[in-house]
Amino acid sequence: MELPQTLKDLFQNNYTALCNYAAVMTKDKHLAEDIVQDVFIHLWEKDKFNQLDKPEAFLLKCVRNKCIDHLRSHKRKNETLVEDFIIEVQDRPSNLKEEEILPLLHYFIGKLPPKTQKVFLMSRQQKMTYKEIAEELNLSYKTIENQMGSALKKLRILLQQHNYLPLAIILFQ
Amino acid sequence: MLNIENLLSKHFAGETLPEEEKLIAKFKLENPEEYQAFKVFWTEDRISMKNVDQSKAWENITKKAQKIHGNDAPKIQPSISRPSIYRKLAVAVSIAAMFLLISTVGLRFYQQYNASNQLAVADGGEMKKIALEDGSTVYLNKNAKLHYPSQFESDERQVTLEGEAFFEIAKDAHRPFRINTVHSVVEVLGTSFNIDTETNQTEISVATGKVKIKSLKNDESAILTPNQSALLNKNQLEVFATKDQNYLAWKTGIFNFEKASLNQVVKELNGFYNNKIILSNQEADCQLSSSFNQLELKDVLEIIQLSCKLKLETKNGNYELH
Repeated sequence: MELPQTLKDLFQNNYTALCNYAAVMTKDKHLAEDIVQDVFIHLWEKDKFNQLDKPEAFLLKCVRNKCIDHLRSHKRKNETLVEDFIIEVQDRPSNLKEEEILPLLHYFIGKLPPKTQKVFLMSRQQKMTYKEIAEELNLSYKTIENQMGSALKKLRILLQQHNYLPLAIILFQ
Repeated sequence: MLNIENLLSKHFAGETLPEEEKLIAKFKLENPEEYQAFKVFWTEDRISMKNVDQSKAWENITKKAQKIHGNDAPKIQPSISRPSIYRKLAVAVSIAAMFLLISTVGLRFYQQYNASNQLAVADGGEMKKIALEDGSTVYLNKNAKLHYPSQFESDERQVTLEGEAFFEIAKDAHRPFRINTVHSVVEVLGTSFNIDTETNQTEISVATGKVKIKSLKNDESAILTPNQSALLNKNQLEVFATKDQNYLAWKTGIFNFEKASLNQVVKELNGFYNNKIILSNQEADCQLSSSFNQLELKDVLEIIQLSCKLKLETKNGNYELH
């Protein structure tokens, strides 16, 4: 039985990113894959994937909810989960919760096109300077600058799409 | 042509030139929420990406789907045909690539041996009083939630609050009392005070004793004494003399109004009397100087009626004044 191409396309473009999101949420890589796979199966079962307005946002929401459900039911009895509030006071846009940031970051990285992802990780994970990245990849400084700018633009769109940011038009003189 | 995203990403990576920083400052001023959101994502370094075997996962999904639809479907054609050795290798590789522990710097788990964590919720439209293990008392306003352990740690006492509550904290020099809210940590130095949290701000009013508030952003801190309040919002910590003398009314039922506008009076009363008072004439020009000491709602309304020459009508369980 061959599953529909639309579903498969959604899968190809989102599976890895969703797994990374779920893995951060649940701290369990295998569980993460199970959760994401279940979401796709559910999507197929309910025949929803063709009618969705924003399928990727929907997928992320489903995965998020499943992760939260899992965490709730598995909270061990004698433990108190306390968010480390050593965070910037009032710095967050009000829709973006502290505990959502790390998983969302991983999803965002997973959704970056391969070249951009590579540059992003070299800069933000390995802390390389633009110059070092340029040298390493044999590209121009400007290209690195553009890649990182493109990544930020994608982040902005992602945050807007998921309503973490109000839709804003940035006008600049 | 100016590319703000290029500039911003350079800024967070520390690659901007001095003249470029001016533009960033302008952006930050005009778009503080976006700036902070980008900053958070760009400066987070706990990154650990995992590799997944997509084709194997897709196979799994197809298999499960087939199970659901029964066996009348033709045999599954995998999109990539692979020899069985590869399949085994793929499994071995994915186990080896199992990701390493994500740093749990961001989360702390407290193991509490004799304690279980408790959650108190003031639902049912009523205030709730909670006695804590150390002798402290917390009064939760409606819909507020308090997470607390039945036994505090030996070196500190911590609770988490959503909503509004009044705290009477027992003195314990060895164990500071800390209240966590969405955006602040309030450290208590043996005192009583009111704390009201909303999504965008936290307001604290001190009744007795002292309260220390720390801004975790920039080491700004303030110590509040009785009749002082502080407002923590987007970018600042503001300390002022407590303006609203009725800030405890939700708990005490005691209201004092001095030349207060009718609008204001109704608004404050509604906090205690569950939003049952409706003012149909918002423009009503009437000032009230009265005290209400835990009165029945109908008595309060009678006083207002007489003072402001208004008519009272009961509609759907609400009281309309006009």
